Amino acid sequence: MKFAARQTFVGNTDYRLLPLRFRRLPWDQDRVLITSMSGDWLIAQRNDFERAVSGQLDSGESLFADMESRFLITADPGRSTLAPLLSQYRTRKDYLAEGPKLHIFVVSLRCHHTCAYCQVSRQAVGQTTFDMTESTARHAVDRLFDWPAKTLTIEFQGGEPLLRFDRVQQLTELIERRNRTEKRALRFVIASTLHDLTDEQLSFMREHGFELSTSLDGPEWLHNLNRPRPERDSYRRTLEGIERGRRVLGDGAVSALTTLTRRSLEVPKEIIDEYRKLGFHSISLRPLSPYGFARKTDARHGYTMGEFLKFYETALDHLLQINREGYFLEETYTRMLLSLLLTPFSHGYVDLRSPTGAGLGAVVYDYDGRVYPSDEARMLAAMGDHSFALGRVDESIETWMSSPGMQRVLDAGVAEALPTCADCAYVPLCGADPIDHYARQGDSIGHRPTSDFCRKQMGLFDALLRRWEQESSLDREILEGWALRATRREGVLEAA
Amino acid sequence: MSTIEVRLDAGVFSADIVTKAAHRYTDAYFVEIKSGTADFIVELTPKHVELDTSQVAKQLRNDALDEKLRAVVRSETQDIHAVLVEAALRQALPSKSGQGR
Amino acid sequence: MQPLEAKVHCEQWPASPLLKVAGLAEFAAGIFPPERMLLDLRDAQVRSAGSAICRLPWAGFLTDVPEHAPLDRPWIAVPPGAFKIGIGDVVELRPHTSKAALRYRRGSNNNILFTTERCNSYCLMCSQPPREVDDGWRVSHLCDLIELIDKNAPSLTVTGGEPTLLKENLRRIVLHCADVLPQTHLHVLSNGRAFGGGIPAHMFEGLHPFLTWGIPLYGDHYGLHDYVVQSAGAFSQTIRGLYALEAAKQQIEIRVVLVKPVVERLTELARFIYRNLPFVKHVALMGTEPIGFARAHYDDLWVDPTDMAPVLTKTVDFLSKRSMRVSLYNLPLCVLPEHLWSYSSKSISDWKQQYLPACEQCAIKERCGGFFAWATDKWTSRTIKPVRGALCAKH
Repeated sequence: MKFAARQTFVGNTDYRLLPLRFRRLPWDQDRVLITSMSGDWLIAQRNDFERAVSGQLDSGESLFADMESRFLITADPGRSTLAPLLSQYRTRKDYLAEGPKLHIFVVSLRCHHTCAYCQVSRQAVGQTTFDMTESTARHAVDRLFDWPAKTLTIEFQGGEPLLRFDRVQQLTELIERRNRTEKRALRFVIASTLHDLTDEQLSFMREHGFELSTSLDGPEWLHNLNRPRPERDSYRRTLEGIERGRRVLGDGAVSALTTLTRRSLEVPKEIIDEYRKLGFHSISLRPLSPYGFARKTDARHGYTMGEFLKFYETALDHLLQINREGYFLEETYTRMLLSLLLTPFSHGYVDLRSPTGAGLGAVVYDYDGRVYPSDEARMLAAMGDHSFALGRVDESIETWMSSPGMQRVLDAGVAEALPTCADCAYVPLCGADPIDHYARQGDSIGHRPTSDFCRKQMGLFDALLRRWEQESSLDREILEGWALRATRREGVLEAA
Repeated sequence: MSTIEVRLDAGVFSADIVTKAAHRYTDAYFVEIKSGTADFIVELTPKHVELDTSQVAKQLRNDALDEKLRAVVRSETQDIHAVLVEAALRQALPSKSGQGR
Repeated sequence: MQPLEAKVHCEQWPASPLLKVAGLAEFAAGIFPPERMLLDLRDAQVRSAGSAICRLPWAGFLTDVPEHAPLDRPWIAVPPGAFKIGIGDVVELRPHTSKAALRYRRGSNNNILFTTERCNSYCLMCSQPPREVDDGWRVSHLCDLIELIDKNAPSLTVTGGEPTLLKENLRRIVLHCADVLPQTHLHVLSNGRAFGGGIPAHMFEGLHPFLTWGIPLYGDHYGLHDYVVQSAGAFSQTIRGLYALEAAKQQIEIRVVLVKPVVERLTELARFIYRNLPFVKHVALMGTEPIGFARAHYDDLWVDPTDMAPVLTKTVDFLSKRSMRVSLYNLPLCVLPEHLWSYSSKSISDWKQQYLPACEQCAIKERCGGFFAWATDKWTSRTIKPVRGALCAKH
């Protein structure tokens, strides 16, 4: 048997480019990040990349194999296959399959708090006209099961859903009864301050496997500052709620998020230390969004995305330090971004998807029977702008999907088709948020150079990529550990 | 608030490339593009006095070079991109007829 | 090293049968008909059962003393030597050449169903060099063999050559195993190329309760893989075959033989597997078997396992963090860093396995898979040495 040398199997090395995008590294202008259609990537010298683009790469170079292996180029079509690229792309966009999985039920707008950044447009505790009626609830449950998803996450929100807990109970029971024939996998989440939790409420929640998501903005002085109650004891009540929730439902069932105000940005370490002190292993550092009361109070509580990114770097340094000391504490958004960079998988967060998650990944059933593709669309409606309303719970889901509101979402909902996004190296990992752009810039397509959404996303991706390159191997392991855990988790949680 | 002027050779860069490159600066600058005899003149006027403008000319040139490269990539891959996305999604999405009620 | 075939004394055999060696337990269990069995007269229990048992319609008798066999009945006697036949084994007898071959050995760690000598690849290190022969006769032989294998056999490996060249007959064999040996795990070693076009992988969907496929992948791009398997287009077909098998809900293991060109891009291969084939259940990293084609390509293939340690560590670490099971096959423990020992298993088939003189003093010999019987000095690591001293209680 005569054996052929390696050279024989090289085939036709007149390679062609596959769809790719690139970005000069902000910390090293001589090198570029190159991403494939599906978000696989490598970093190369810019002049080598330029040679690659102009067809001058030699098949013997390791960069040739590296680019082939990531489907940035393809050589002999008779010997190569693009099946893996298609498979990666489908895997990355896996959230498209099956339709919306996250269903948010706003049972009441009433709340005890008067948070300046509230995006809900809360109502006073006594105003029961802002509660969901039984008729709305029943219709909403019918619509819920019109969707095909095999897994449904039902999230109760408000205002404060505990103020109308009977409706929460009723919805849960209606859903579970219907599910006996439907046989979907169900997840129940309640986004609540956890104030004044009763034993009966806890017992019900345990019986139905609820997860609790609450707001904890940081140490007591900060939390109470951000989240005023007339009694001025929000922090104490929140802690009590967390404690009791953990006791009855288990530690893993209770999670917390921050909302960051201008004051919060000054104390990243204190916020994180508070979470550690309370035994949390997960923290969400959420910047403000321009909705509801947050918009009105922007001057006092707002900050630029640049300021947020500075805060974030300090926070991440501190988190890594804590993890190095042996205490596991991850930041949830960071974990998701890292999973995008380091794994081929899609994720459960509806707010960073292309096509957008609004309406396609999540649906919001408001207390008054109106339906929206996202929380933000609901916020806009509460502020008087119904551009993104889908319809009412007593209409069919087909009506919603063909509504003008949904059309507006879809028209600007594919990041790969948006100006500037189309050429961005991060676009396979990023998302479109037409409603956010509409709210901030007045136009759902948006202007990327002045877009806070873009600034945040690029800032975070750049920050994480730089750390991935430059950080110590221990820190890289910590970050990698967060990313790899992510592939076994799902879902997005919001808090009151 | 002095305007920075950057000249880009029209023989090397097309109007489209210059526009795309300059567009990136519309957050921090007022941008105007003028046609000279043999080049494009990009005028950048800082919106805020505190802006550090020392690197912006170099960055704009780099961006123009990058846009040129992107144009090459685009011309080579535009068609196959649409074909691949369509092929990938066709295999992924189940038919939705008869779902639910 | 134990021979699987040898010359025997035999008489009165009308044909070339496949025979199950029976003791009293096999007789009592009544699973296999006596017509397909060889009663083992060497066994003390059998002899103590008396002469009546011999009157059953056994195919023949196994004996050390031909005179003990009943008159006018076929018998086999195994001459003294390395070749051994035991109760529960399945023997193929070829009377015209007086040869017996073991087709199944009870208790062996590697019983195979050998499907064909043909193959559509020509791997540089192939340990079973293909021959272009018409050996379709093997299919019915294998079906007969399957019927004589112990029901509690834990596993069988379907191998060759390339089993998918049997096409629909491979399905027939797998189905027969599902029917006759429903508890036995079946592992098919295939290059998967046929599923990339030609054979629908769906024909195996739901066919067998414990079926896995072991498919080699040698590189993250066609230039490397096609070179190692000496076949243009192989990479493309194998990759497409892998997706077809996944769509048919098959369990897949990727096998990687650690020859030099492969080791040079091993971490890239692991990355490629994770990004593109995350459904793979297991990755086997395997030391080269120095037999067959491998011997002719020493210079292109050999890399001392000791020198692989950093790359193996990185690769094992990468895959196991991503919840992909990894195993190290055919590598003795003394050439591996201790933190990799738990990934190693005693993978070399017992009949072709040996230990070296240095192993006598080794404290962990029992855990170690040792060496191939045909390993020569140049195919053996320079750092073979006994492991001494106390070991961590966990191991």
